Amino acid sequence: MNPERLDKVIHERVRLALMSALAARGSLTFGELKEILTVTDGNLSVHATVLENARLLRIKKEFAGRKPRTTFIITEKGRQAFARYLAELEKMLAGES
Amino acid sequence: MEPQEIAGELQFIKQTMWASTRYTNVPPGGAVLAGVLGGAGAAASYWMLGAAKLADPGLLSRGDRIGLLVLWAGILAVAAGVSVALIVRQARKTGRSAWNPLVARMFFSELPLLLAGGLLTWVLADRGLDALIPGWWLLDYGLVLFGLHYYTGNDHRNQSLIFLTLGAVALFSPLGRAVMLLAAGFGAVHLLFGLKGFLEQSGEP
Repeated sequence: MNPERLDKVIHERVRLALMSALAARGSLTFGELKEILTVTDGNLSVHATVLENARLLRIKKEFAGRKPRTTFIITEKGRQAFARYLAELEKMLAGES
Repeated sequence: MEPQEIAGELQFIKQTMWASTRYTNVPPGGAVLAGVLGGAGAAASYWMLGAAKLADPGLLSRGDRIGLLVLWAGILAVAAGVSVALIVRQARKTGRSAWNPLVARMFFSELPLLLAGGLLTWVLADRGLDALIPGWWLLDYGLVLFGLHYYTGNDHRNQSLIFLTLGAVALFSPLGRAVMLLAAGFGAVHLLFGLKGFLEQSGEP
C-alpha cells in the first residue's frame, strides 16, 4: 500500500483534523477549532497557513464587536481534495493498488 | 501504510467530524435566569388564580386566560432574549461565532415544536382545557431539549427526561398540582442545571 498517493498537504495529523472539521462544518472560527482540535494557537496558525497556501481553505479576519475574529472557510478545491483523500484511504484499505 | 493504520486514520477523521458538530456555547447564566423567571412565573400564576380557580378550572374567565398567556409570553420573551444576549457575549469572549450553520440547524430543527407548542396552547385555552396546559408545556419543552441534546450533550438529555416525566405527571394532575410541577420544571430544574454549569465552568482550566 503506497501512501505516496495521498495528498501530502492533508496527510499530516493537525491538517487532517482541520480539514475534517471544516468538511463537516464549512467554516469555523479560530476559537472553535482550537477547542475541537485541542492544539496551541501557534500550531493551528502554522498548519492553517499551509492549507491556505495550497488554497484548500480561506482565512477571513474581521472584528466581532471590538475583538478580532479569525474564521477558516473550506474552499471548493479543499472539499474536492478532502474527498479524494478519503477515497484514496478507502481504496488502500480495500487493498486496491 | 498498514491496514490498521488506515482504519485508524479513517476513525480519526470520523471522530473529528463528529466532534466539530458539537455545540458547546451554552452559557449557564441563561439557565439560572430561566429558572428564576420560571419559578416566579409559576408563583405569579398561583397568586393570579387563587385557590378556588386552581381547584376548579371551570371558574377561569377569559380575562384570567389572557392574563396568564401574557405573563408566560413575557417570561418566554425575556428568558429567550437574555439567553441570546448571553450566548452572543460568550461567543465573543471565546472567539466562537454566535450564529453559524450548526446553530441554524439546531434552531430550525426545533422551531416546528415551538410553534406547535404555541398553537396547541391556544387550542387548549380556547376549549377550556386549562389543566392540560402546564403538562403540555413541560412535555413540549422536554421534546425541544431532547432534540437539542444531539448537538449539546448529556446535560440537555437529562433535563429533557426530567421535563418529560414532569409533563406526563402534570397531564394527569389537577391544575393546582400541575402549576407546582411547572415551578419544579421551569424553576428548579433550570436553576439546578444552571448552577451545575457554573460549577463546571469554574473548574475548567
